Amino acid sequence: MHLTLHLTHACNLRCTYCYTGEKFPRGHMSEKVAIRAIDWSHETTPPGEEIDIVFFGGEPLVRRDTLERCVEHSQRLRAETRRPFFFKVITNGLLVDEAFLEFANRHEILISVSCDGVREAHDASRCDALGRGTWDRLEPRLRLIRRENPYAQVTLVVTPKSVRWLAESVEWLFGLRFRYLHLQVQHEAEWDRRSFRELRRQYRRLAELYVARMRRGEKFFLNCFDSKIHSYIQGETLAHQRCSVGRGQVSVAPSGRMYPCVSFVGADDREEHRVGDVWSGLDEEKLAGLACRMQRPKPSCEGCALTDRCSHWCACLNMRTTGRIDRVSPVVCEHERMLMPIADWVGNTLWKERNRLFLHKFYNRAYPVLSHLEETLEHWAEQRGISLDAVDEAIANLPDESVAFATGKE
Amino acid sequence: MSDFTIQPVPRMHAPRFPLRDAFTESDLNSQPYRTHVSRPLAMALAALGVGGLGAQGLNLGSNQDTSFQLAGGMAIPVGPTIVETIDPAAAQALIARVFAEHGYALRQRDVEVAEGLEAERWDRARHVGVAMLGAEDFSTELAWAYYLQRTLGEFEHVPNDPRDRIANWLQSVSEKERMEVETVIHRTERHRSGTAPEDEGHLMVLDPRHLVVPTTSTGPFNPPTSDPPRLAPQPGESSQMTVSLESATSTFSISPVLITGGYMPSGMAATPGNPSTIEQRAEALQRLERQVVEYIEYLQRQGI
Repeated sequence: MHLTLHLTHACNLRCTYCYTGEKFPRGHMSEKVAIRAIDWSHETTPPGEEIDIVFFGGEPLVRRDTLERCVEHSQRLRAETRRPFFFKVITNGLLVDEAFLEFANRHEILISVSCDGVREAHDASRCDALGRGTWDRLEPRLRLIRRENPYAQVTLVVTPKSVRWLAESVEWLFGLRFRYLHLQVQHEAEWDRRSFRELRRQYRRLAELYVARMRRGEKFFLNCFDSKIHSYIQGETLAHQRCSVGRGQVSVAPSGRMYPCVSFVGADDREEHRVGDVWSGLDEEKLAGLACRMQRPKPSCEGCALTDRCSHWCACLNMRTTGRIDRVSPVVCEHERMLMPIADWVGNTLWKERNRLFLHKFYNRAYPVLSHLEETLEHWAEQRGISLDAVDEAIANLPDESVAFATGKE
Repeated sequence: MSDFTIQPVPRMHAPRFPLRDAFTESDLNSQPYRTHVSRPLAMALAALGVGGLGAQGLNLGSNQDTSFQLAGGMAIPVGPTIVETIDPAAAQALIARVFAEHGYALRQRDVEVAEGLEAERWDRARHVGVAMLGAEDFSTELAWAYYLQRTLGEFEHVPNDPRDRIANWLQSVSEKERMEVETVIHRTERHRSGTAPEDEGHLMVLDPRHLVVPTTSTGPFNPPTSDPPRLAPQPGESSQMTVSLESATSTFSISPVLITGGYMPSGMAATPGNPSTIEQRAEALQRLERQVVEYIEYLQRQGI
């Protein structure tokens, strides 16, 4: 179960592309609603199955106290019932401080920061209530977040206004040593042929950057290529991971009303998309209707060879771009047709070279485990100013030393 | 007015890189992945619950995107686990029984004899997912904290770790407790080097593709023989009742192992004269049984 809690409608920013609706300064989720939402998810999810709680907004850190209560409540449930809970916060980063990072680390909260990249790209859309850019305020916090949480991800929204800095922005974020980058093209923006040409140019630059980093053995996640390469490699399997509106995924507005996904919440005023509330649960009939509309084959895509790898299935995306969950935007279609060959070029190039990192990243089922441990170790060593070579050496010597130590012969 | 129109693509050149199912394990093994994570350190980190390992398993993810990023496209619910037990035969029999009660039989190829922590098998265990030491046990977890501290410097800060608990313990530990921990470390090392006496406990790795469990048919620390392991089905057993976990995991693209814990303190054999140990042993077996049942339920939820 993926439970997204929109802790508030309030936000300290006024990003021009925000889809989460009008910002009400006092539109907060009460602690009672938040706890009820968690209890509801716990009651309706089979025992032992994990619940993923995403804190969203507005800006969720405006309601840090509620967030903390939610985490503590979930941890209590975990202790009592052995139910696994996982947490993620999607934040603009401006309210992140050391105390929050300590809390996040202690409770294993994954942090996703929104940053559109270099100053020019970021300030083109991500402004405060006075219309001022926020890059200068965010940049030191980004460094702090990366220092304390090596797994933090960055989401970059790509718009026609920011597209020309895309590759530069990704390089900059890699330079800050963020490894998990999630590009989110704002399909609903006013894209035209010229801006799409620029997007293609930027994707090609990113493709070269991707290949170069892989050749150097540097690990990272860049969703635009990784997801498309996976969409081929995993085939049918990936299709099972796709969202199906309201099934196993619910967004809760501050009022407690429930929606099938984040894009549907908006200002919490769309009756047609409401699928229940935390007090009475889900409206199964309505959900079934939504699912039926969503799963119906789309006549516009009939006969297309790319459907298995395309994003046309995403209800959220369709909703934002066409106002209907079952209608695909031409911009989405154009984008998919552009991106896929570039991603395949990346895959083909690395496969041809039998790039070791590529093989393990995409084919080794144990890679996530190894990679995660490796990053943990790197972070551990980095915080102590120890070189990884020194760690390697220490590891090589471990058994003998430990035996000597354990037997009192050291 | 949009510049674009929807244009179905009638045909597409398939990429030249292969599908996952067409790429074999031996292909992968021919290109080993170099990692800084060594066997003991992986164990230590895992035992400490570092980075969401240990109690929470490996899935730090909180939604689809997160699973993607951490799992490189796969969601891995929980990582493989080592169960340390003084009584491998009992644990093994329990696993066979619980699987059988749920309509599963374990085939010979699903069950292999393990020789303690012999390196080759460790590597294979790591290949399918780095194994974890049962972290539910107080002394084991802290033993590894202590061990790591002694070998890699002071333990100050590891993200997501229970560092406060460890730091407090390390400060407050009494000489007696320290001795106990050193004993655990010593025994663990003896296991690793294969010099531990047979009754001192054992390690087994459970994983759906290569269930590696010790067997008493050869003795836990003796080389495997051609004798069939105890979990092998009897001749004439219905093949329909046999579930190939290997093919199941391949089909469903999961690599879950969610049997954790089951730890019983090494060297504390259950004897008539030692009722507290008998209690501990019974508790550990009950815990293991619950976990095996959970694992089977998980497989069933996946349609296996």
